[in-house]
Amino acid sequence: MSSKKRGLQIIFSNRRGMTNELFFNIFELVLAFIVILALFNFVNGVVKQTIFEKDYLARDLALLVSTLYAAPGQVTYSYNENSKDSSFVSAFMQNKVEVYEKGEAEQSRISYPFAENKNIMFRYNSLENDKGAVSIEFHKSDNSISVTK
Amino acid sequence: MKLGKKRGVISGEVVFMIPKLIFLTAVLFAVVILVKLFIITTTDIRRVESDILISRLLYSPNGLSYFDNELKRVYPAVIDLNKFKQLSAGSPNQLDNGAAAYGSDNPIIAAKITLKQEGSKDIDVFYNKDRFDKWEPRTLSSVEGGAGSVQSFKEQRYVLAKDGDKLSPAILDFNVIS
Repeated sequence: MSSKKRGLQIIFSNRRGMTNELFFNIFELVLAFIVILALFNFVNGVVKQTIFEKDYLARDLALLVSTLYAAPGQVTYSYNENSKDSSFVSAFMQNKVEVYEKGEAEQSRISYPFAENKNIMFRYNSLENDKGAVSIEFHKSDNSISVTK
Repeated sequence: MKLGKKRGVISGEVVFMIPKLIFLTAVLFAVVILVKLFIITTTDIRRVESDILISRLLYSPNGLSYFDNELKRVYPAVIDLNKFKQLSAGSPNQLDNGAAAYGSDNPIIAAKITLKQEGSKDIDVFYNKDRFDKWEPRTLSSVEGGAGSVQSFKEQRYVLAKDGDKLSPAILDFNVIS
């Protein structure tokens, strides 16, 4: 009881001490708020970016080409993937697939390599897809692989 | 005298606030690190790539399996022993340019394929030997930059080794590093 009384005495008598404590508490809150705001901005930026989608598509397409090479005989495969609000270009080049958005700078393009087979010719092609979907037709014959929209 | 006492009270409070601030900073850092940890930016496809490479080496006409030139057919579980010995004795990069060619530089995958037969010496064939030699020590956790920077996938297939017309049981060991 006596300590409670003394505590009240300190609060009411030592105003400077209280102001300092209040100042520190506000400073802590402001610091936490700034960090959380920066974090939200960062997460929002990551959500808006299409780097993950491009990387995923490039890897998936490269794996698919490799699988087609491994498959004996003739194969026709229809590849369909949801691309949300983006329209991607899938460029099949020598030993790599490059995925990018229309008009995107070369530095922002994502590519992934795939292994070719000298006995099976790959007909390189660049396919532009509409917003919302990536749709590619793969055709493998005994001696060639082609990609069309 | 009074002023000095007040100063003492203020500086004392500041000292008490320091651990609080350190704790707050640590918590904020932990939150940032946790959020960054949960954001996945790449997909790990090394296991799939390793499986595909094994399939390609086994199913391709210019891979390891026996290929009948007249029928134009590959026998996936039948290893052409002469071809395997040639690949082992010849250039170590022979396989890199056949069934699965990544071009002049292959920073993706490497493999060591061992054919084991009872009563015979093991025969080794390499795919992307230069990288395999560099990467193999890095699969160990005891090596600097090891365990995680590259991963080793081991696979064993029971096959038949074809020596002329003779077929004999064998084991094909794949050690793929990606």
